[in-house]
Amino acid sequence: MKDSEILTRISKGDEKTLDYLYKKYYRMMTRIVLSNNGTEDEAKDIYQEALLAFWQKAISGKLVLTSKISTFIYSICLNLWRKELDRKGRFSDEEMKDEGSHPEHEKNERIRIINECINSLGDTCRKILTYYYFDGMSMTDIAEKLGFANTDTAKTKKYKCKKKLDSLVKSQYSASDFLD
Amino acid sequence: MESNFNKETLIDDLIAGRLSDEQASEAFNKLQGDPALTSDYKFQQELIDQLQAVRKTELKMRLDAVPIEPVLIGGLTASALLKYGGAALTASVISVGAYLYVTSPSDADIESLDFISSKNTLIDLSSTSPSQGPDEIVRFELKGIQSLPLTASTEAIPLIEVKEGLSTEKVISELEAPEVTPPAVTELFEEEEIASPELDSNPDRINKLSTKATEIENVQDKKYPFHYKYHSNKLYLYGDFKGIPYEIIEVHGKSGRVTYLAYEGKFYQLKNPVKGVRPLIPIGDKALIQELEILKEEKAF
Repeated sequence: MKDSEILTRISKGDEKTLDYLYKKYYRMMTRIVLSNNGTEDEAKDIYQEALLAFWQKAISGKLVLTSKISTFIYSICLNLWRKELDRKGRFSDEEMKDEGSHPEHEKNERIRIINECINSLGDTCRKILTYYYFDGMSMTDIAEKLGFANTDTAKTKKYKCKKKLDSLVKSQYSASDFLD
Repeated sequence: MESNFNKETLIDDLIAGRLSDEQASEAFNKLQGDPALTSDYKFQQELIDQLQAVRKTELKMRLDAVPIEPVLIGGLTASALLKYGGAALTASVISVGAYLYVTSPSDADIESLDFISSKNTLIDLSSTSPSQGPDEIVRFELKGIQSLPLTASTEAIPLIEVKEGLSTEKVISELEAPEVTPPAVTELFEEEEIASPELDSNPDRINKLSTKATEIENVQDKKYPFHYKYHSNKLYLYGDFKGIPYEIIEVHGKSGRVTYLAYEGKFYQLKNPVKGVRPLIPIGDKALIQELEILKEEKAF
């Protein structure tokens, strides 16, 4: 499959093309980490992060590639692994000691609540919101992908779903708790 | 409602980076002068962060289910490495066999040899841990031979000479990782030729259920009411499980091991490695949940 075809498919939110890319470059990309003191799990994680960063860029339709897709993803992998090595270098010894007294307890609690609320939204709402906020899909593409009558239907549904999520979370947590 | 809609759209667009520099700057000015709007912005930011995290987790689980050939160490492709490995192992087996034949080994010795040769042929290179360096691959070969109950030193075995003309140094230097610099990728690597995907077919998500036990420790910490952490491959589960039993399901797919926690009718993916203590997030993918339900049932019998 040519790069241009891959981009076209991804811009429509075709997840099978993501699978295809993942498989195609798996060995090439994970080798960056494996040959630089990384484990297979770390290699896989870095590659997945890089591929999803590419996915987000590509699905928006705004990505103008000046190189091959493989070169683009390779650069992301390389940067991510450098950052990870840096992070590991700084925190490896102190991680275990610090976790118990980490000041982010309240944030973690909020995250748990929000996740529970997202999961109780129902499939359609969860998909609309995650496609919009993570994938960056347009409302037109979301309408097409989820089989809505038109873009306006998708917009209305997205608004209602977001409202529902807001009130679900707020019912368990006051918005003032989000002020630091 | 109109003004609420506009306010939310503004916050949405600001968080999603859909505003121009000028619009974003204007929006930030508005935020600074309006504590209620600031509070709402922070609230929305956390919601959107979590929506993104949920989707990312979903996509990563999808990728975990994509069947991948085992990754090999060093700079060689699978076929090349297997070729060298196969040649070396065949040579090793022939050499050891010849040696044993000459020195009239016992039946037990021959059984050991059969075991090692067949094991090595299948798993030696492709299943060696990727964290091992190329040196260790060579050592592994020698270790396998050394474990035979031989009376003579392994140095007597002409292992290196019969590797299709490759010396140990050459094998190691070819396997060693190159310095990584941003390259013209296609010159360094061969792209794997795979068939284009059918747009509507479903992936084979789960391949095998593991029965291997995971080392787990429960931790009671008020700061982490329902969280997990992996440290040194040990799983730490934080929180009060209220005496309700939970299950750990390890699925061995072609792309590696994926671990799930089953608790109170929900499933949670446990990423390993994971940075610090992470909240347990229920899986939302219904197809995956269904498959995990089936696996859980199978495991119960």
